[in-house]
Amino acid sequence: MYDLLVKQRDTVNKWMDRFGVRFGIYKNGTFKEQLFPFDPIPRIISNSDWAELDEGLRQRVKALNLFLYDIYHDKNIVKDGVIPPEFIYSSSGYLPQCEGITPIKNVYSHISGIDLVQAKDGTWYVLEDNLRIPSGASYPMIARNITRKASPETFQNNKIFDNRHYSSLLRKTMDYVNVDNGLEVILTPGRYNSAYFEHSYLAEKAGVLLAYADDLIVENNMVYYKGLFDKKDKVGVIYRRISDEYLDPLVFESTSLLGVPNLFQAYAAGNVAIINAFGNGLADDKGIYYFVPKMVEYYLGEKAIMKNAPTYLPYFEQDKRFVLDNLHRLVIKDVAEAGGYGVMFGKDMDAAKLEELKELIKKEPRRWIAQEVIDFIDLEIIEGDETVSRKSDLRVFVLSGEDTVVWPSGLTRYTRNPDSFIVNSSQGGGFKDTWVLKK
Amino acid sequence: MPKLRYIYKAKITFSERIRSHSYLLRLLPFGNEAQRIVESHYHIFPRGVINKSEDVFGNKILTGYIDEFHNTFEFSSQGVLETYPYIIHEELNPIYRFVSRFTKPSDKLLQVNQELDFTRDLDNHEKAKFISDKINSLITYEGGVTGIGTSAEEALSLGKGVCQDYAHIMISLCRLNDIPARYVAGFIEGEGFSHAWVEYYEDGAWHGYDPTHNVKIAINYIKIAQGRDYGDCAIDKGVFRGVAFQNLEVIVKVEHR
Repeated sequence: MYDLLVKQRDTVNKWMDRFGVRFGIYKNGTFKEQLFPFDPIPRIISNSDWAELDEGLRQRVKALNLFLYDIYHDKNIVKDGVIPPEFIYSSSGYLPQCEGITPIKNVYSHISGIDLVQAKDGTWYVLEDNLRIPSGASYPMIARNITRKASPETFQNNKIFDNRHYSSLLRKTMDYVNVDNGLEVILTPGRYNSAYFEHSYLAEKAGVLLAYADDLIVENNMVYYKGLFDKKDKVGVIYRRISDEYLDPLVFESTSLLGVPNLFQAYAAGNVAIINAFGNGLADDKGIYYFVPKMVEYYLGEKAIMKNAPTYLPYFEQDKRFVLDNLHRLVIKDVAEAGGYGVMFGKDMDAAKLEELKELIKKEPRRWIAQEVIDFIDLEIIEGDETVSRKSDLRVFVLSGEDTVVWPSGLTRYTRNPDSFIVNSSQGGGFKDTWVLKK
Repeated sequence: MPKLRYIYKAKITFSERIRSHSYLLRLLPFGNEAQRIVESHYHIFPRGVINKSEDVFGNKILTGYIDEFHNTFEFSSQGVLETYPYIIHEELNPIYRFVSRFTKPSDKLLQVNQELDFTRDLDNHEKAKFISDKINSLITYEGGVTGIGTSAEEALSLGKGVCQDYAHIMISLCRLNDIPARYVAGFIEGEGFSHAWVEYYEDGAWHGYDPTHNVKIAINYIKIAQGRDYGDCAIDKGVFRGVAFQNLEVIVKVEHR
């Protein structure tokens, strides 16, 4: 299916380089931007698999949006005993400042990045929900752009859903919540951010402004874009690529230079839409993840279509005993960490390390989750002139506006280290295009 | 009931002209059953466009943006309050039961908590006193050693601190013992600076405790801001554009009328 494309891989890589498809990494305190390695063999998802993912992911994201609304308002899911209050109030993603605030059109997670893996028996599992600032959609977008040019025959011969319209889906999502037809901006922390390529590429393709913190001011609870000659234009929607804690130095981290002072007040007054909403970090919490299938049942009265990886919460006494007895074969995650940090595999730890971890789990049970290691399928990648197998995952993007839609593609990440299970770009992994077949 | 007149005056002097100055101020007193507002005024200069609102903790906030160049920024608040016994009936917000940024316990606080020996069945009033006594046996008041970013754990390890640190340590120990507790910034009688103390929850109401002076608060404490810890209660926060040093002068005066 893709042999012709693989033959063109040097051309593809040359173009990737030219377009600056990079990913920045901080290592030992210094910033290094490097090419985001691209593998020409696509991940191919059958039409029937996709139909199930499409339905399951829309269901999951709808439930997560309802959950965020509920938590920042009535908290029925806590009152009804489905989620213990500790999991809300002691989560670093929960922001009490958001209590009682309803975002424009009641959308919390406009852009959700759901990380999936496929087990060898074909079952898809959700590994993580990313409802803060999931990055990565631009990479398969530009990869498709380039591969179509490098090998047009490949795309004539195969019936694949196009994915280059992600920017119009994004634009529609922004238009839907735009307040009073204001300016639409993507707010970037700047070129030292790991995903700066993505910020600029999406702004260009969606036809919105790329703004830096300095460009925006808040006056009279309104956000303005300060252009040349002090002309002020009202901003109606901000797709921010800066996390909550740095977004308003007067409400959150006061030393932040990346944020816009008093942006939170403008948001609370309903004068600007923020994509994604403030306070979404709660839904990303690895402890909350455990409860997502229960949320689907609670809010939608339906059985969850998407499966979680089998997960144990040491917070519950029974789970704790199981985890302590089976630590050597489980994967342990620190709920406070992201980007592939704080993930430990019991099988790689010696007896002393395991004991140490057991003590930590006993001391702070709420801080950890444990999961069964899923034997997920390997994907082929080209290394030199050889084809080798590597672990991979898939981040699928779900956009919530007037409708909830799943972008028929996704970011497939793979590990370059043959012994590693961790595919995060911040850990040096590579990426592939994701093809969804029309038939 | 006693009437108190309060004056809070602050002035920031910048070494160079600055502009694009955004601020968020918590200057206005609470009106509640422990303090009734008779009159209250504020003054901000230069002011820009001011917006008055309330944050999620119930604090009145004033926000604004000053576009023009300026060398100084002045803000003040004054008025008269009628004060009543320090008991505030309110439904409990669960956030005050859980750890917060400045009150997160680590080894030292956990160790001190172990040493607290609540042998008898104590109510929260007695426990609060017990905790405050313990804190006063472990740290001494000293200015300039800790800063606005110091956590309870750090201050306790230093064995020194100011009212903010006493309050953080007490809140942390209260929450470790399932006593809901919150941070309060405000003014007390006399002349000097702003003060910080603790409220703990018992019997459907918040009660005041001043760990710095090691006393249960009876009356005459003026509450300006409340929250999980100092992070929610700063009286003034600001961001400006320009390269300048700044010098803050504050006068607080509270007297019987």
